[in-house]
Amino acid sequence: MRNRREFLQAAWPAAVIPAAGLQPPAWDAAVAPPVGYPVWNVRDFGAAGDRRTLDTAAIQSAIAAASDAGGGVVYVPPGDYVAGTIRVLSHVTLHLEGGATIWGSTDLADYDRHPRSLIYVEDAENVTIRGRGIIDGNGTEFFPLVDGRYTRPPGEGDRWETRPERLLRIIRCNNLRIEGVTLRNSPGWTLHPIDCNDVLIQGISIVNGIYADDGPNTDGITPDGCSRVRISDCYVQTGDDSIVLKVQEPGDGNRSCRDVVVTNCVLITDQSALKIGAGTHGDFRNITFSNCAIRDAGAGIGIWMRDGGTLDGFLVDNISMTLSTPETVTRVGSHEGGTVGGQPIYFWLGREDDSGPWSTVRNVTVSNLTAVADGSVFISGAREKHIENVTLENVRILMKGGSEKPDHADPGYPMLRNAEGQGTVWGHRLSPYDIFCRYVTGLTLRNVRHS
Amino acid sequence: MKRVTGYPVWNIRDFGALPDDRTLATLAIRDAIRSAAAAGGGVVYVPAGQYLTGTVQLLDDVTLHLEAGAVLRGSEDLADYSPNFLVYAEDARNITLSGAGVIDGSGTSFFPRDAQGRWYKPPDEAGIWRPDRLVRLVRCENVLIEGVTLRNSPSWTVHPIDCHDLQIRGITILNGIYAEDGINTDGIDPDGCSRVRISDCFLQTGDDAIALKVQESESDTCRDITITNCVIHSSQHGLKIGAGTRGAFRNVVISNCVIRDASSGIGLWMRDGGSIDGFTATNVSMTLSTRETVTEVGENPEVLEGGQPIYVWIGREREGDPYGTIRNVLITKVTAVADGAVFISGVEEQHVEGITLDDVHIVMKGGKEKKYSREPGYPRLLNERGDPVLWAPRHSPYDVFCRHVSGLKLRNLKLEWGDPEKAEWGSAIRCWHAREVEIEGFAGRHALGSDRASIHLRDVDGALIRGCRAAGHTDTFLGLERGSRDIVLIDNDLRQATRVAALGEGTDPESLFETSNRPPNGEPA
Repeated sequence: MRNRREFLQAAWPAAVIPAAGLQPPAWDAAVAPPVGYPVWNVRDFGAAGDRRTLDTAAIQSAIAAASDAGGGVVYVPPGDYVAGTIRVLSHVTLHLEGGATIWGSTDLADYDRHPRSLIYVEDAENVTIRGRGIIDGNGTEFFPLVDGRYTRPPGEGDRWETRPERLLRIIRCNNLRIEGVTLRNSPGWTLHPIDCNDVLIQGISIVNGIYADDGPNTDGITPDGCSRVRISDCYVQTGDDSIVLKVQEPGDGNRSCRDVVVTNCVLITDQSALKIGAGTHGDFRNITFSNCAIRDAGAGIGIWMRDGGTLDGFLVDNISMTLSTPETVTRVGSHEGGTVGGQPIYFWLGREDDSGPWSTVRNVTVSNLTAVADGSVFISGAREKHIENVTLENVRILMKGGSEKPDHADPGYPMLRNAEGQGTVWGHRLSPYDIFCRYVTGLTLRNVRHS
Repeated sequence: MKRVTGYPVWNIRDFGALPDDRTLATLAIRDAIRSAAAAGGGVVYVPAGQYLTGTVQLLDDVTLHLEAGAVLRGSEDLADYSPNFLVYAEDARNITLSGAGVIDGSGTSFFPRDAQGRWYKPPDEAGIWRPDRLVRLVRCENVLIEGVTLRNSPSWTVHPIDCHDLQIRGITILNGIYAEDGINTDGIDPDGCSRVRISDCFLQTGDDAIALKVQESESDTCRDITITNCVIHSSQHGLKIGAGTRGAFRNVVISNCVIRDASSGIGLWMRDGGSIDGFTATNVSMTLSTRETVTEVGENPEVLEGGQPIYVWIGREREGDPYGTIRNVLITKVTAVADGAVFISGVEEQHVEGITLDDVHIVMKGGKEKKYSREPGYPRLLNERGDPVLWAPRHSPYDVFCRHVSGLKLRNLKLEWGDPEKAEWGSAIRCWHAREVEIEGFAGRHALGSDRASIHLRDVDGALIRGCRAAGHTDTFLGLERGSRDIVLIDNDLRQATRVAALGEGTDPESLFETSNRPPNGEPA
């Protein structure tokens, strides 16, 4: 360990180290006057910012210049920049000034790889995206408009050929920071960090449409096999899950999602607000969700363990939600695709097919939760595999009932096949109107009120 | 020109602002902000130095960044304000206040002083005598206030009205705390706002620190509000809803805060109709004891007493007005050293419905003021002079007092009396005119020397008292009167009590069901 003086000598040129003492030097005539904080301005690299010119190459060369210098800030001044896939490199901060918008190109050919994304990071470290600007995915340009509603393209397969699938896709990045920006109108999942460690997502706004209008499949923040993740102070409005932890692919079999804290967020969504799964090909450990306000969600807090993997150590505390159809942000009426307000708590463990591995869910505590909702609580393990150790404490739910007829007398199992052979994944709309707990070992309901 | 350049900013010095704390910089700042806005947005930079200014209007996509060492000080001449706020924005999107600098409202220069040098508010007929708000934002979207210090406000400090997607993070508000130097200087008052995240702030205010309202708002709701990790010093309320409650308050969550000095720590004031549905607060630690206040207050009669950790009430301004409602409130994990304890008061026509207190530990020290302990008044009812008894925390009784409540749960409540303990404090818990009461895991007793029971129920319909432990020197554990019925006492350790229950007037012995209790010493098991 170096002492402080050695550290300073290493950090400063020898000439400015005072002969005695460790005071930093005072400015004097011999020292150059202050200059601006050095940035790589995309305009200097030819970006037009006129909402017509494709600025991908200009922005990319500014990033390359910063990277070649060892790192630095790439500055996007106010303006409207149209771009295809932009790759952000190690030690580069992409700073979007207030009034700057990067618009996703509406030409799929401008996105250069599968799965297509507007912002792309791979095998990097210390990447920051920040500022008061906007990244707009132009999602509504890609979704077909059917009966005045944006929908997923028909017959969309695994390789989506009709739209970019991610607004930001970040693979294997250590020390990732996303701060302050607005992410808007995503054509698919909004922010998808994969196998990243040390992730900070603070104070961002995600504004996608809510399902029936303009935002199908636009998940908000989807840490996938990530660890040491801190998410705070965000506003997330999405047409699909808001904040959802996944291990989407098995990979080498050792992928996991762990050490994740989420706090102080406002979430408005058509689907699940705070969720684990589906996509559970690994382990989930040490996860806390706290101090959030939730609206409209099909499920407020969701566990969907479907593909093997273990969830162990999950704390949810201090959450207030309104999931009642008559109070939704978007009036969805009886539209089939629209939410029928939801279940405050929706936990299940199932499997895709009879030969698949069972998942494990244990040590889950939900405390201090109030909800006004169509439904209530659904916790369902399987006969072969119980959910273990679930505590609900200080939970108050005012259940109003919804317009859909729940499968009340004999509630189905999520993921069991329906008559058409499809998994009944969207089970929260069919879950019963009560606190229903099945195949659970170690269940504590303490001061739980359902009215 | 592919090279590194300086981060472009609109420096107010370039527009003629002088850091002499004398020359008005209003026009220079205005021009810098307008230039930035005309360029589509950007950072208006306030370098180190003191700048005197009148009203500053924030515009779309502009960040007002105050460097460390920069102070924007409000002019002392009201003529320099138009409209009458130091910083304001209207119908703006994506506005930002940031940096480690200071906005100083020159509050001390506007308030008249009395003979003792204390601030006072002049009578209404005095007209406009101070800038109305330090920061006022109307109908703005996507607002960030980060890092700055806001100090010496002449009025409320941050007042966002009908704003949505608002973040306030890591700011410091430094106003005076007491009548000497800070009356009416609320901290952050979101008014008809939604999607608000407040975190990591230090708020020192001469009135409420954070108060949610529907007051000047044109909307009817204030909702989806998260607050965490704040330190609060306040002469009035720490965390509050109301007064100014014309609308609905939904989904309000609070955690991880510490509060000092406030007359009430967590306050819900339903005064003007409206409703609260869905309020949770957890992990809050408070010191609200007169003897431990930040400022030495001595015998100054204007200074509020240290207060009530929890203060919840429904009232109304005038006869005939509708009552507001309070539903689904959870307050958990609270520790407090305070003059008072808990006051929850609905009214006969409108109970507080569904309120849980869990893991609440209060050391109640008592204050110097005489409280209306025997027959606690109703907030907002008129006093003998015809004035509303608004500042009721000072008059609320010295115990956990719950009245006109349905669905009350007091769990793991611990009440300790300060030393010296006064017999007049009476019962530890009183529930009056309540339905569906659960008291579980209570530890404590009535004040020493009092003839009151530790838990006193008057006109309570349905109570479950379970798992409690009578502390040493308990005389009577449970007192029932005036028609209390369906009272169940189960699994309690009453060994240290002298007697289990006293049945007062109008109470049928059949109304109390006892089982599995450990009886007082000397009584047969």
